[in-house]
Amino acid sequence: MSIEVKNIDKHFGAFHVLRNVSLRVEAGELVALLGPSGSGKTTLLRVIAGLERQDRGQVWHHDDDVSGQPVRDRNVGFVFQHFALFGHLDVFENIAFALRVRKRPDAEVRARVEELLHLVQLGGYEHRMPAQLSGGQRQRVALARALAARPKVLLLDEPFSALDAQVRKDLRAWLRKLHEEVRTTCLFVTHDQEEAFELADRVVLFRDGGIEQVGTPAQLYGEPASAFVMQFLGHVQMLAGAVQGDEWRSQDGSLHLRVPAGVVPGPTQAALRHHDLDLLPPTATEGWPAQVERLTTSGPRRTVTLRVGASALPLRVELFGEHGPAPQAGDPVRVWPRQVRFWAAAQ
Amino acid sequence: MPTPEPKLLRWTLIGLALLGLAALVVLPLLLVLIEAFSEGWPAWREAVTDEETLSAIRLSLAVAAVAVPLNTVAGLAAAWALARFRFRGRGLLLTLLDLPLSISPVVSGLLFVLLFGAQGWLGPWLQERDIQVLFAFPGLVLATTFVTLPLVARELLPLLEALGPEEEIAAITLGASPWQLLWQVVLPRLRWGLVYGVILCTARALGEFGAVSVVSGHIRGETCTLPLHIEVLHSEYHFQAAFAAASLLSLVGLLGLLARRVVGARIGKAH
Repeated sequence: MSIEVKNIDKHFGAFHVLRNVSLRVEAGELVALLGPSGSGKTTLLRVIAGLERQDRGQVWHHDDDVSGQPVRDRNVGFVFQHFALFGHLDVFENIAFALRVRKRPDAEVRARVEELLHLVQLGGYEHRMPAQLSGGQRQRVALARALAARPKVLLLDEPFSALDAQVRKDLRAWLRKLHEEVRTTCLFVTHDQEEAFELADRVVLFRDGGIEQVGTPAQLYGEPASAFVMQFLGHVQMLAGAVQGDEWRSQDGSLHLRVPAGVVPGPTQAALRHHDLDLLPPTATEGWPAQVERLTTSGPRRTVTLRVGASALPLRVELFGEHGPAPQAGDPVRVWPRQVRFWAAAQ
Repeated sequence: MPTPEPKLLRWTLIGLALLGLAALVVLPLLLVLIEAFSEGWPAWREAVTDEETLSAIRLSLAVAAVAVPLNTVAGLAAAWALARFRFRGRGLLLTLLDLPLSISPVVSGLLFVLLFGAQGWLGPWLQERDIQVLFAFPGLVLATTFVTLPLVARELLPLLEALGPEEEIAAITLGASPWQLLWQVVLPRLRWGLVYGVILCTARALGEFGAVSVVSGHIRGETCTLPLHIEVLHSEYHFQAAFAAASLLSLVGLLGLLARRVVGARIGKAH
């Protein structure tokens, strides 16, 4: 079942939370709505579910305009950040809820719940109460409950953010596998770019109530549409400066870069990704002179913090796998960016 | 947990509290019982099975049987609306809900006299249709309902706010109708709180004196509830009979207290 929203606008009082948002999600796709908090991603999810009513625009489920339909007629599965399991019902009755309110025969309910318990790997837990389960188990019950009535679309609102790091990683892999089995169209909201990239077929990046970029994880990373996208994905440093002719100069005038043809002159930020920087010996003739300030090691990654240029700008360099002699704090070095993107500075 | 306050202070405070309780609560309650049985068990039995006393008990129970369900439904609706929706006039509704608790019951009774009395706003209209409100059963029910109005709502509101709306929203996304939402999600989650509120409301309804006294007219065997009957007996110097009936009312109060302790512990456990 495909999902499409067209020209959605939504205000909360004076706050314009969604600005003319349009998006199409194909049947069977797993799509992440990513963005900083307050950027409108959760509101869009709730509009698709019918939990919020848009001021303007339409919501289509496949060929049906459901814009005015109440939540309970839309048949969406919704998974909440804090699980929202029914505290007075056991696991079995939690999962069975959607079937019970539809007055399905007992035998059918039993069969479907058994099937779902197996799917979420909670066989044998049917008579536990939610309070007796771990966070990860609760969220799996919530997923099974949302899937029970075979919804047209599964909507997940920050489904893993209330869980600790290891459980979050396990559940992520597990959800990916589950999606491959059930193939329900799936939208999930997250503010964690790693989670979005690892799980989703496509990522929708929100900014201030609008969609900044839609694409596969590789597209977002390889062809970011704006400085905001690069910054949100992280591991990048923006240096303020200006382009004159075919050269970019940092604000203090001490750092220079050649710019490719087509970059417009004027105030421009140079975006340097931490792992696109090379460290060179101080004797090298190319690169910017710099001084090592600090070195940290985290697994296979070494992070070197440098001070560079006349105004001693801090610059991070990430090195992977190379195990040459480690630079020491205070060492003079040279640093050179292999790849730079230039973004006209916001006026 | 040990506290840094000196022992002397602790024992002085505890002693004062116990002394106050003994003088103001335990002693009078004991005196009621002593007085009730002062002429022995048979006299007590005779007093409480007196025809007028029995009719007062029946009337009080009948009034409570109408007022308490009314307040339970209204209280649940009010608490649910106040906890889940932000609407214009919400603050006003919250304030109005507390009104019956903050004004004197006598004034509450007078409100109904103003409304339904022969010179009241609705009096002539009612008289034309031969409907008796004041000095009759409907008046007693109205006054009692008014005075006990906030008790269920005030008990449920904080519970609903603590539970949060998430389970209810989940139920709606799963296809529950408003009716199913009420019976399968809201009420099961509230049940002990609701029982607690109903006990509170029943105890107050059975014991209400002031407002009921104003609208009752004290017609013996007809509009005298148990508390009014006790007052009549007392003012007519039937002390032993008055205290015998009062001991019944005290018993109801104590039972209510006990039930509240038991149910209160269950509410505590449910969260």
